[in-house]
Amino acid sequence: MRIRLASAAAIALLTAACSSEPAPLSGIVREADINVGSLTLPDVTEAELRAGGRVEEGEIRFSAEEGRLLLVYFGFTHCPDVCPATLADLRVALRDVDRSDRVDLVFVTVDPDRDTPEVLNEYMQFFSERFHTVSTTEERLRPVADAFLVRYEVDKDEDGQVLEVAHSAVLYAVDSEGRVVVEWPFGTRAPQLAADLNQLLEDA
Amino acid sequence: MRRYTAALVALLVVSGCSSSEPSATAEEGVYVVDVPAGTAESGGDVSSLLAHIPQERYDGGVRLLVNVGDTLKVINRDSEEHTIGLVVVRPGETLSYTFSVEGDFVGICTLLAGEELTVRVT
Repeated sequence: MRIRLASAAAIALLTAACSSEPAPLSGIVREADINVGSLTLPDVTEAELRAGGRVEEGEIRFSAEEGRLLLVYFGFTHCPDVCPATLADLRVALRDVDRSDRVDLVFVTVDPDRDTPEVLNEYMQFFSERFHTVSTTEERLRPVADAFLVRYEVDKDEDGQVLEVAHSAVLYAVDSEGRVVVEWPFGTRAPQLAADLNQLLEDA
Repeated sequence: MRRYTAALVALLVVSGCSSSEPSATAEEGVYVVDVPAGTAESGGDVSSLLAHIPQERYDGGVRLLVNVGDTLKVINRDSEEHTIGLVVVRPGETLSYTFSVEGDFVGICTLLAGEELTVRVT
């Protein structure tokens, strides 16, 4: 009887252990995936600043390399608050990510008139040692932004000078199959980002 | 408290865009924004939409008051895509987001035809 009870207890413990699910992610997880893996845009990163990512013929593909995660952010370097705050939070978060070397970052400007490759690459070095920067035409950018469900608008005056830029303030994580696996809206704290990234990398 | 402004689709919640069924909470701290079919077609009437925000959470103008840890759940029953603050919710989709940081978040809700809303998270 004692053996039988012990066996039952062991089975119960094993069952409990096996059924324990990971904590839900802090970011938004959609029931139906967005897939951006077939999309590419021009990568304008200086070669020595570039790391990871699938770059083919000067274009970065929006899917992570095997075993890695690709983080994608749409913003602009003149942004006074949201963009730098998000990138700074990410920088802090990555310090607490066990395998941060498996995380690649892409910054896509929605303000290509002002965000030249030089401006972008200098700006991003405030937040990361290695990254990818994307600057392209409206014709190339819009469909990719739409695929991510990113919304942006650049208001210009009669002379074509930029007056205001509005954009979605969301950081996206893309897996090796090109699926957007989580979206972190602006305001997600660094510890939550780190926890989510650690969890996602376990499955990557 | 910091004030973040970044027009259009930008920022958090803007959940004043709710509509239809009351955002009364089934659970404490969970606000349900149930976007009914036909919302986009009707153009989204501000007064009727905001009427469904609990009185104590709406202080006039277009400001919604929530607490850190509160969750916004958006159910889009419309045939059109809707932008609810930071997130774009596709037709038939349900999304949830929990506020984790204090601040005033200003943005435009597509349901309100350009009306600016502020969400104050405390």
